[in-house]
Amino acid sequence: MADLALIEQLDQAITAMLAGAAQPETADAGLAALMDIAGKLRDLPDDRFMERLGAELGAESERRVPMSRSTTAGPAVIHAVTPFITVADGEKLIEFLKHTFRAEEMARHPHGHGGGFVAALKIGDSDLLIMGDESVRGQERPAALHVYVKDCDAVYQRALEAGATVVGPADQGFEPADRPWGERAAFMTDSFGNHWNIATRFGPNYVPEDGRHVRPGLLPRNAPVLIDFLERAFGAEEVGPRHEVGGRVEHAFVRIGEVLLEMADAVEEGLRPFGFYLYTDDVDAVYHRAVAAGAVSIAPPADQPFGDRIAVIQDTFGNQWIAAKNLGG
Amino acid sequence: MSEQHDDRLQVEAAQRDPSRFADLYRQNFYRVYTYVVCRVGDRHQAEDLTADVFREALAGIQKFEWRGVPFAAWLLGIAARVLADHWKRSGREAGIPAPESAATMPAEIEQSAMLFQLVDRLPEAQCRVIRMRFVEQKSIREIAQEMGRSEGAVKQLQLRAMETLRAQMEGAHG
Repeated sequence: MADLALIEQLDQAITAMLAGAAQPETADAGLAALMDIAGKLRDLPDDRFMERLGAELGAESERRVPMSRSTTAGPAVIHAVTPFITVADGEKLIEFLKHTFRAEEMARHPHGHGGGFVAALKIGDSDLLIMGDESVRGQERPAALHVYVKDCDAVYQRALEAGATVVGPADQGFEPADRPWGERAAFMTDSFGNHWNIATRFGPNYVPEDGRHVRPGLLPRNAPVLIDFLERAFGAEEVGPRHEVGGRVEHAFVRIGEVLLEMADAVEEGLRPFGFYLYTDDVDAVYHRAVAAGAVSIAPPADQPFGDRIAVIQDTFGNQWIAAKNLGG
Repeated sequence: MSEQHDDRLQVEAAQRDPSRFADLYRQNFYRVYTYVVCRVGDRHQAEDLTADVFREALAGIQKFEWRGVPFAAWLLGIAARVLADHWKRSGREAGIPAPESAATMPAEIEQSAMLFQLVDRLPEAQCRVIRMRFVEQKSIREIAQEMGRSEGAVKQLQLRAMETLRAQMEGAHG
């Protein structure tokens, strides 16, 4: 019951403090110590501001990266690789992302004539593009994303509430658990076919060293072939050793520009093609180099009414890569 | 010693490749913000000025010379200058805070910065209560409505969060 009294006393003291009232002296040393903490918390910064400023500085620092430090595709620099998810019911997917990951919608533009749209979202500091259009039903392109969150278990619960399920049978190790690679992680799929690796790093930062909240993944049928293509087409670099079991790639990392992508050979029979936006200085150079490396041209470079110049190419495994440059910038 | 070594490596990495500035930002955000907010008292002004400090630091990272002084002290030097300019602009000359000596790191800034980091590591529900209560200054009733919990449960989360923070702060200094 003493606890109950403390709960009330503390709340009253905090309410008074936040209202600007002078702090009454308290003989209770425990309460005084808590109010000392409360006094400091009055200056707690807004985490949304911290993320926003971090993203702004990140964009500014990208502009300052010397050319020799960037990965180049011929003369073209690739600045960012953004997952581009295509689904029939984009609205529902966005609801799922907002509920589960507290994603924020940053912008939305109409697409086509059937009420479709392309929306830009942020999960933490990382960008996602969602195209929602009924006309793509049957040809959806989901994503496999490794999302770093502060509390894996809480996000897992929210994903369950929003209709996601673990990727395999229950109690087979896909639920949140401490993993030997330094993370607590759960593996889920949502009702749109996206794979989610929801993870919290151990240690002081819940995000990995590159600081990104979302790391895109690829699930090709033959990872070494795709890695070779990405190196030749986009100047990608493989990072760290590949982890193979019985001739199957379980884990590999490639860097395109400043973005780290992870890859594993797909377990399923069918292809799991994804889509990515590649922001670059020179759409034409990226396109020509990718085609020379064996990509199929889906759409040659052209200026679009929404203000970007884009070109679309497809790799052997059906992944589509959209090279894009904003014509205004 | 090793902290200083890491600090130095990170600064040098950011000087070679500005995209590595993100690490320095994350490690020093709370310090700079606390330094600024304690002096201006207003959250919105503190955000604007903190942004100015980091923009200036990113623009000038090449000018930072390693002389054994922590990078954070260099940032706080920029913060002192940004604040002095701010007071001048707003005509409050009398309030110019004396810039700290670059070598000293005021203990209260370090303590607050550590506390803010600990908030990030609270279980999610407790962290949300603390943020809504102190950042958004919401009442217990508003928080309860937003979280779909009873007011009693929110007060309990508030107490638990504060006790955890107190214990961790005492552990860090004890």
